[in-house]
Amino acid sequence: MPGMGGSSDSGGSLVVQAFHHALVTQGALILIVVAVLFVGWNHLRSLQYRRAVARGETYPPAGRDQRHVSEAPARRFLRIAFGVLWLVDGLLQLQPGMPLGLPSAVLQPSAATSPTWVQHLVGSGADIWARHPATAAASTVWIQLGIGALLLLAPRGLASRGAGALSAGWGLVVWSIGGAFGGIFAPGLTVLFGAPGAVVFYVIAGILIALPERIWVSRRTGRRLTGGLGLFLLAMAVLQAWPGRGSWQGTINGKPGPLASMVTSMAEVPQPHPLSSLVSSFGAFDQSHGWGVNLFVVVALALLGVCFVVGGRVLRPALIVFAVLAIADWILIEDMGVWGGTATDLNSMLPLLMLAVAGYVATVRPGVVGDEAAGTTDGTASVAAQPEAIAVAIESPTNEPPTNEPVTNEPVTTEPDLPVPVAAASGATPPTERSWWERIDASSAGRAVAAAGALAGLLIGVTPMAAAAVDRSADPAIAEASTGPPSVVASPAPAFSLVDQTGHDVSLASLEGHVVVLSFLDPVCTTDCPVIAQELRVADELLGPDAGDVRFVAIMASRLYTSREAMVAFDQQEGLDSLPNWSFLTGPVDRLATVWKDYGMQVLTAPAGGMSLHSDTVFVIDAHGTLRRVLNADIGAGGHASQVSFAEILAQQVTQVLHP
Amino acid sequence: MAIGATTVVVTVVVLIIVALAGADNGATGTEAGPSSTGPAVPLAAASTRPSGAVATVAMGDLPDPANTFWEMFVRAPGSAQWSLATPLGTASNGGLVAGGGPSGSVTAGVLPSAFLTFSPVASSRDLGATWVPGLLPGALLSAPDALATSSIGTTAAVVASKNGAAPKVLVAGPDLASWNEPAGLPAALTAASNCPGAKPAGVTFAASGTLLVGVTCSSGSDGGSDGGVLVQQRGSTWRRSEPQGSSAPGTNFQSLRLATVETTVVTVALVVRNGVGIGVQASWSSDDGATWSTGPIVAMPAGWKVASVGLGGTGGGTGNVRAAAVVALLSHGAQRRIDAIAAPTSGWITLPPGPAGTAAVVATDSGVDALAVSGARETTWSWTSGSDRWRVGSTERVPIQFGSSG
Repeated sequence: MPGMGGSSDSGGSLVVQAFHHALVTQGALILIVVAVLFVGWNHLRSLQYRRAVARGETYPPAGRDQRHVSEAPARRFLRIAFGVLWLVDGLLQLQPGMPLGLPSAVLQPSAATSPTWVQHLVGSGADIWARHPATAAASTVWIQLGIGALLLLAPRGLASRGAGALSAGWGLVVWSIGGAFGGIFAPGLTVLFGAPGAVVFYVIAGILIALPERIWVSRRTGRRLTGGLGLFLLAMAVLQAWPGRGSWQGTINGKPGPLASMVTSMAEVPQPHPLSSLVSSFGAFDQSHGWGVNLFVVVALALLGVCFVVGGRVLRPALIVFAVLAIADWILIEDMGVWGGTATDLNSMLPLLMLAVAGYVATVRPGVVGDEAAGTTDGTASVAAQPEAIAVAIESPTNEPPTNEPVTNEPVTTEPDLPVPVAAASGATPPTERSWWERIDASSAGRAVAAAGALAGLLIGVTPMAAAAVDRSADPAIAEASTGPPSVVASPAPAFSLVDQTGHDVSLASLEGHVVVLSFLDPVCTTDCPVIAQELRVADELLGPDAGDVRFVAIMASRLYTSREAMVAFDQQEGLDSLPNWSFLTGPVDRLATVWKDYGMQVLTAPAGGMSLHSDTVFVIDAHGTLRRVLNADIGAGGHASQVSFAEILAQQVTQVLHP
Repeated sequence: MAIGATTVVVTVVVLIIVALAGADNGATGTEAGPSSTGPAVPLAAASTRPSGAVATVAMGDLPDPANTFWEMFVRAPGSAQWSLATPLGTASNGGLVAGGGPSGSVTAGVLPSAFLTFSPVASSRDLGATWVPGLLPGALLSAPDALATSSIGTTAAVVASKNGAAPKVLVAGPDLASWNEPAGLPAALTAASNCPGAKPAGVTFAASGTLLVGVTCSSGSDGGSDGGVLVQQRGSTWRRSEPQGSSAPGTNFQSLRLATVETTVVTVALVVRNGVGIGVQASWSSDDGATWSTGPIVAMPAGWKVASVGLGGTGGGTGNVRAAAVVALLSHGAQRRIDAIAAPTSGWITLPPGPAGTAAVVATDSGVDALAVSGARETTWSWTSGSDRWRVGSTERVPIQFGSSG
């Protein structure tokens, strides 16, 4: 109802149902793909076994596992850590508030204070999501679960590097469109609250994983990583210390300063009480000791930055201190990032900490030289390393002096996708001519099948997302979530006889032979009526050739601005003046009041600068003057997507009345 | 990447210095910085005429545009009480302009908000008791004198143009239905010398029915230009008049108000130097803008802005006060200052600081009224000449329809 505000059901049950349906459908497809891959792999292994037996060979062939080089500890840590983070992010996307809540609660607020071009970019992504919320939300789940699973299941080779590249690519999409570039173009940037965006660290990690594995042989990679982290922390220290940004103030004009305000608002999000108490306590502390808190932050960031840049012996204590502070920030300021129903990730501190740990491990435990890494390029470190747990690596840095000797390692595990040099396969029989399928290592490809399944899941997520991006229509469930389903009726439509915007008499009887879409509009209404007008215009377009048999008729819904000039101005404003099947009708208020009453409409004049109040109902009348459908056109606070969605519903209903 | 200990120490010292500098800055508050004074013309305004007083103020939840409603209050002659008279039937979230005329006639126009792109207008002959709706073929300019009504019922409006073109003036008869551009005005604006990008900023009808158009030069002009006023002559001829006269290089005058009170045309301008508002100056004319008497400039402290200007009234009739006093409400954050001037030969006087929430001020025949708003409540405060404090008058709870425009 114009003037009464709209209701937005962020958890609209119809959309959530559609979301769950899309999830199940896409999940079923993924299961089928994995099943097919599993059957194919099993069949291939059987074939290889039979061929080996026929040749009198052993199966699996001897020597296939003879040579293996383990993955560099730092790379493995990075891969597993960010794989888990992507899995968590994928699971967060399962929240029922995501389909309808993400554009309004996450995307648009993230860009609200950014420059116009950022807002446009984010707006385009939000529009795609808003028009296809169920598809987009389900796709995002599978894309992120797919990337996470692929990172975890593909430790080496092309699949692993591809997972890194996918992580970086999708991360860039999320960072730019989903996170407005982490707010780096907006005022108030602070590392404490997530700048420059958690996903930037996913992108960096993805790039590192995607690079050739030989980079991990050198300690230089770790030093560059920790050095880069140090420079980042120094830059953030300067930013935090910069005068005039409010960082030094716990309160400004009696109100909480920027940090205290952010923390307080985070504490208000629904979450376990002990956590909200802790966070709000810190907010109160910052309010009363804002200067001291910021001094501590600036000095800590600066000192840690210097330590990471300098490296050497101070690296380990710096990492420990950084870990403590990062976790404190993650809990006390970022509020763990997961509450509120539309959280998309764990915020920035954990991924930043993961990168710091990986850098440290790469410094103290560089990888070993495998085939891919043959010959170090920098001539520095190539240190033998066992595939120890990362925790051990942190606790026991080797600090061996660098050597120029590339070091090979003993075979440790079976890695099917590692190239196996024939010359190194000692003891194996000379290779005979084998067909392509015989050269595939099917004896130990379980993990490869799982990785391929993860990749399939990712593709099954990407495909509908890409289709949604180019589809300009909108899911009817969006509008139905707020307006409810159309009512099917069958009663004579009340007659009316009024004057249209050109001064001609128009009655319901004169429209016989056409399906009539009847609405009630106020020409000086500022919110709902222009929206409904656009819904009617889009529905007219969607009808295509059928539009020739349909008349869109609006009846004046104002007691004051009833002139033809007002109707003409409204038609021009909404682009309705060019529609041949559009009529806007008016008449004396007493005659209008009769029509309003006949159709059950309320039209009230509000005081004190309020607009005219009236019902937002649209009626569909068949060609014989029988009322067939009644629709609620109040889409609430929905945007363009909701308008298009309602237009889809209306066009469907009109088509059903036209062609019963 | 190895960095020496000296570098580390220097870095830390620099950071601490920056930190301390930041702390010092923080103590002075964050409102210091570029002045917001300049191009923004306050829409809240008030005018007192013998037929009654009219004021427009923003009310409701001001940080939320969808719940900010502009309201019109009127005060009948001889009454001490202001009462709500906002025209009905359209949302006033975008702003409200009230152009007063003689004998209780007033025309109100609503600035478009949300999806509306044109301005509904309404005229009243009984000080807002009843209204006749009309329509502007465009959006009303956001200026307190963008509407004016003559003694014969002609209405003039400044309409903000589309696609970046300059605003234009339109004139309509009493039915507010058919609007036309006055002949010769576009050419006169183009020909305005020493005023690049001249554009209309306000309109008024002199007592004789002569149309006067306030002009503002483009912001890029800093050569001491003054938009002044264009006065309609016979036919399509327009005469340019500069109430404030020539200004010093780097100084401009930005039109804040242009209105007629009885037989006097009053114009109030913001004195802008190097893009920053430094003061307020008023001019009076009793001969349809042929000659002007200009008063002194009241200086405005750095960072302050003009929040509202009231015209008309005698201010209590003391000294040499005439019936066209000017009252300026200046603000800086929560601080307010009210200055008044009764005539060009008298100086500005500073009144006691206005009550909290003061949104509009205007001289009446007994002193100065301040309309203070808080949410949906309007409180009238009155100051009488010679007093050192404001006395609370009437309070009105406005039936704002919160949520009706969102």
